[in-house]
Amino acid sequence: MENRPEAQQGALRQIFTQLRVTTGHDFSNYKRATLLRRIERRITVRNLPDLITYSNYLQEHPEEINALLKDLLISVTNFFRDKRAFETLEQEILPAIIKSKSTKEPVRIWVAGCATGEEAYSIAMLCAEHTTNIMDAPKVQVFATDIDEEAIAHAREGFYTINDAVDVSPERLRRFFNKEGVGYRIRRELREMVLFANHNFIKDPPFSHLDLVSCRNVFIYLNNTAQERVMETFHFALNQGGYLFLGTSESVDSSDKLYDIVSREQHIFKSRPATVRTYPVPDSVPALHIDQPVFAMHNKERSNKLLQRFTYGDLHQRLLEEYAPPSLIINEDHEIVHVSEKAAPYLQFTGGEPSRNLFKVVRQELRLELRSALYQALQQKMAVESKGLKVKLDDRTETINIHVKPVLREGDIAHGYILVIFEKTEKEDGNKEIIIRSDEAISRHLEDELLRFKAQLRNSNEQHEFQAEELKASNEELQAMNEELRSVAEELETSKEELQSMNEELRTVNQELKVKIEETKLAGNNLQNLINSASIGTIFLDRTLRVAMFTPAIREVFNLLPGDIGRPLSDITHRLAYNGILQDADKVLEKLAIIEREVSTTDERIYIMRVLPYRTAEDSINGVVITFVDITSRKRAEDNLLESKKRMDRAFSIETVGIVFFKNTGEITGANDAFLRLSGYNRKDLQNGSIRRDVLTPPEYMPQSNKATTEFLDSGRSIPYEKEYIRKDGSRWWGLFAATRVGEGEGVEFIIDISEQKLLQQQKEDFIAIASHELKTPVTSIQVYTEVLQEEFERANDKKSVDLVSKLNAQVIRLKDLIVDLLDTTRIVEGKLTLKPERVDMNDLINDHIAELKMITRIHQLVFKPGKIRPVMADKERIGQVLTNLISNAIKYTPGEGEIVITSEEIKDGIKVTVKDKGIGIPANLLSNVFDRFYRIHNDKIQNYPGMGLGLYICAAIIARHGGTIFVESKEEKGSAFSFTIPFSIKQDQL
Amino acid sequence: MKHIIIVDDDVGVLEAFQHVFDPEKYEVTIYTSGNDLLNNRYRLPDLYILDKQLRGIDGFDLCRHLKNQPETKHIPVIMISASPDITKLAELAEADYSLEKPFGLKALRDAADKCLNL
Repeated sequence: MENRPEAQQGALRQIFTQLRVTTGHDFSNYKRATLLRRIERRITVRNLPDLITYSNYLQEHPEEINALLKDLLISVTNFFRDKRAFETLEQEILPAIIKSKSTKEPVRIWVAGCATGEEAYSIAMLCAEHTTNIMDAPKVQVFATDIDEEAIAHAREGFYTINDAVDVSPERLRRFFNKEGVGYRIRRELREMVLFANHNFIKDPPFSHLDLVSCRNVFIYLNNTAQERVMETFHFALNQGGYLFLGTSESVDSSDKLYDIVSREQHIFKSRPATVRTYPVPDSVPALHIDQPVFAMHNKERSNKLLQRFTYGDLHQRLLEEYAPPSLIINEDHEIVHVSEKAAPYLQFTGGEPSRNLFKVVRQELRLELRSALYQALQQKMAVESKGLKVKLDDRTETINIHVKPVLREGDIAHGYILVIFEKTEKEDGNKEIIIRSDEAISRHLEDELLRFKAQLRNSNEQHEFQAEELKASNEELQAMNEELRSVAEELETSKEELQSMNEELRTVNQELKVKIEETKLAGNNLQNLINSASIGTIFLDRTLRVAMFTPAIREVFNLLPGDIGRPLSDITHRLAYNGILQDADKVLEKLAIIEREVSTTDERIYIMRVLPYRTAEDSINGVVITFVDITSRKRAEDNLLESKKRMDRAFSIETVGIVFFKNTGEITGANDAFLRLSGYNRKDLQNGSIRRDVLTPPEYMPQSNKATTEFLDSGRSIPYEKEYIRKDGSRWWGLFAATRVGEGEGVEFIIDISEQKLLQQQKEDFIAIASHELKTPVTSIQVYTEVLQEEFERANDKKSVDLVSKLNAQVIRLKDLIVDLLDTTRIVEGKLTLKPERVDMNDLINDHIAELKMITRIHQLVFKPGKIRPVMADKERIGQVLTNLISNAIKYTPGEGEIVITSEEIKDGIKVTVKDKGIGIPANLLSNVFDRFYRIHNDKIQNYPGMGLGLYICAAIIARHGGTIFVESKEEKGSAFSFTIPFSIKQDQL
Repeated sequence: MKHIIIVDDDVGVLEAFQHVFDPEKYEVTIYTSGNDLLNNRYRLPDLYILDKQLRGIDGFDLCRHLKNQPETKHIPVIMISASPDITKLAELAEADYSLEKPFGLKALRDAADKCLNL
C-alpha cells in the first residue's frame, strides 16, 4: 500500500470505531499485523483498492461489518487439540485439582475463548472420566466463554460432524456422544457440565475461585498490553495454586511474577501467591455497558479493602523497622523488591539507567563481600553472615555485618526471596583493624602483600564483573532474540490458524465442487446416452467449417473417424447425393437462419438435414450444427400410404359396386358414383340427406334390412344377402348387400348390382316352371292313354301287350315323378314350398305308404315297427312324399333280398321316424353331401342307379319346413339308416 | 246314366278323358272353351270337370260362376290343373274336388265316383 501511514492509521482507527459501535467488540488491543492481514483479506474479497476505500465502504455497507467481524474472530479448534498437552492435563493437573477438593467444593474451570466448544467439552470429558470412579467426587463446573456469539450458539447446540469428531477416541465417542444422522451430539450429562456464555475477558469481569483457566491460542491475537492485563485478570480469577493452561506458542513471560511454571513444554502454569491480588481495571471501558457503574463501584470497594489491609501491614512493618537493623528483600535475580526505611544509606544510585539490581545499587565497598555471601547462601542453602565490613557513609566509616537469609521453607509464600540485613557493629571491629595495622615489619610486609593481593583480587574482580556485564548483555541480547522468536512463533501460529480456517473453507468448497462434478458427470452421462439413443446424426462445425464434434449416428452419412476432428468438412467424403452442404453452412453463418431440406444418399436413404447456428450460452455464434434425421422408413411408409390411398380411391370409383358409408345411427355420410348411378340419385341428394335407408329399401325387405342392421351392430358385419332397392324414380333394382365396420360408430356397405343376374335367374326359373308345367299336361294324357290301353289289353286278355303297356306305364310314372321333383325343387328354390298342415297319425300314414310300396318290390321285406306316438301337425301329402322317397331309396340301394325296417317313436317334443336298410351304404366321406341339390353319389358301385339326385334334397326341404331335422347314419357295405323328426308344434311362420 | 261335362282347351287331354269313363255308365260332353258354359243354354250335367287354364274364361272364374248360379250351384265340380297350387285355388273357387296333373286313371275315376255318390 502506497498511502501515507497517517492516513492508514486514521482509516484503521475508523474501522475499529465502527466495529466497536456496531458490534460492541473492541479490537484495539489485538495485534496489528494479524488484524491488518484479516482486513486485507476482506478488501480483496470486496475488490477494493486500499484500506481507506474499505473504511468508506464499511460505512456505506453495514452488513460488511458482520462479515469483517466473522473474519476477525477465528473460531478454529478441535477436540483434544495438542494431544500431549491434554495428556499432561489428564494425568497430572486434573488429578491434583480433584484430589485437593472435598465433596462439597466444586471444581471450577474456565475455558476462555472456547470458540465452538470442542476444548470445553474435551476438558469436561477428562473431568467426567476422572470423577466417575471416585465416590463423593466433587462437582465439576466448566465455564466456557467466547465473544463470538455464533460460535457460542454452535457450542451450545453440541452437534458435531464426523469430521469434527475424528479427534475423539471411539471409546469417548461412545460414552459422550449420541450418533445423530451424519454427525454426533454431545450427551446431556456432559452438556450439563459446561456452561456457555458470551463473554469478553478483556473488558468483562472475570469468573472467580477457579481451579483451572484454559485460554489457548487467544493471546497470539493480543498485543502485549492486553496480554499482561489478561494475565492479571486470570491471576485474580484463579485460586491460589490454580492452573493456567495456554496455547503452544503462548507463555506467561510478561507476568512471571504471577505464575510459576509447571510444564514449559505443555504451557501449563500455576498461579503464584502475590501480595497484591488485584483485578486490573480495563483501560478501554466500553462506551455502552450497563454493568459499568456497578462494576466500577465493586472494583473500588475491593481496592479500598485491599488498601486498608495493606495499611496495617505497613504500620507493623514500619514499627518493626524502627528497632530492627536496616534490611532489604531481593528476589532470586537479585532485584530489590522491598527496602526498609533505614537501609537507604547502604545504597547508592549512580548515573545512567536506574536499576533495581542490588549489586548495582549497593555501595561499592560492600559489593564484593555481598556477592560472595549471596553466592554462598544460595549454593549451600543456608543463612550466611559476612562480618566486619567497613563502609564509608558520608563523613564517617561504619563497620557492619551483613546477614544473608534466603527463605528456604518449601511452600512458604516468600520462598525464593532473600532477606539482606545490614547490622551495625560497635568499635570492636575498628579496634581489631587498628590492631592489625599497628603490627611490625613482617606483619607489615604481610599486610602489604595482602594489600597487593587485595588489589589484585579487586582487579580480577573487576575484570570478572566486566565479563559478567558482557555476559549479561549477551544474555539480554539472547532474550531479545527469544522475544523475537516467540513473536515470530506467535505470528506463525496465527497464520497457521488462518491456514486452518482457510483449509476448512477449501474443504467445504472442495466438497461442493465434488458434488458439482458428480452432477456434471451425471449430466454428461445423460447427455451421452441421449446422443447415442436419439440416433440423430449430428456434426458440430466451428466457424471455419472444421469438424468440432460428431455423434456416432452421423457415420451413416459421413465417413467420419474420431481422428477427423479438426479437419475441414470439405475433406470428408459422404454418401449424400447433394453437394450444397458447405454453401448451406456458410449461409447459416451469414444469416443465422435455420436451413432444412430433404436429402437422399447414394444408397437411397432419405434424411431431413437441418443446418442451424451453434449458439453458446453467451449467445455468440461459434459455428454450425448439422443434423441428419433418417426418414427413409417414414418416407417409404408415406409413399405406401399414398399408393394405397390411390388404390383405395380407384377401388372406390369402381363402376359396378356401390359403396356407401354410414353411421351406426343410420345416417348415410358418403357414397361413390357407382351407388349414385345405380340408385338414380345425385351428389346433392346425398348432401341434403334425402338418401335414407327407409327410402332405398322396399317395405317387404324392411324386416330383413332391420335384421342385417342388428347383425352389423352386434358383430361389426352383416352376412351378404340379396335385396331389392328403390330408385329415385320409384323403379327397382337388385343388389347383393354386405356391410362391415370401418371405425367406431361407422360402417361401409357394398352393393353389387345383380339386377342382370337376377333377371337371368328369374328367366331360368320361369323357364323350368313353365317347361315342367307344360310337360305335365301331355304326360297326363300319355298316362291316361297308357292306362286305358292296359285296361283294353287286359280285357282282351292279350298278356304280351299288357306286359309291354305296364312297362310303358312304369316309365310314364318315372317321367311324371321327375317332372314333379323338378317342380318341387323350383318351388323350394323360390321359397314357394307351402304346407297344408293337419293332424296326422304318423303310424297310419306309414302303413298306407308301405302298402303302396309293397307293390313295387317283391323281393324286399318291408317291416314296420310302430311305436306309441301321438299325432303331429304335418302336411300329409308332403310327409308321404318323404316316406316314399326314403323307402324307395332303401329298396333301390339294397341289391337282392333284404329287410327294410321302418320304426316310429316319440322323442322329446316330437316324433322320430327311421328307415333302415342293409344295403350298400354310403362312403363316410360322402355322407355330408347326400342332402344337396342335384347330388348323386358318384361311385363305381352305384353309378348305375337312375335318378336326378333331387329326392333327398326335397325331403330335407320338406322336413325343414316342418321345423324338424333329417339325418343319416351309414356304413359302406352295411347299410344306411335315414331318420327324420317332426315336432309336435310347427312354428306359425313356417306354415 | 250320369252326365259329365269336361272343359279343357288341350284336345289331347279331352280325347284321353273320353276313354276314361265307361260309355255305358257315363255320358261325357266335352267343351274346349268355357265361354260356352256361361249361358245356360246347354243340358246341365251331373258333374263338371274343369281345367283351370282355359282359353277365354279361366277355369277358376268359370267354377265361381257356376257355383254362383242357382241352377248349377248344387252340381259338383272337379278342378284339374298342372299348377301345384290347385288345391288352394279349388277351395277358393268353391270346387268340390281338385286333381293336380299328372294324375292316373284311377285317381280321376275315384274322384268322379265320389262326387257322383256312386
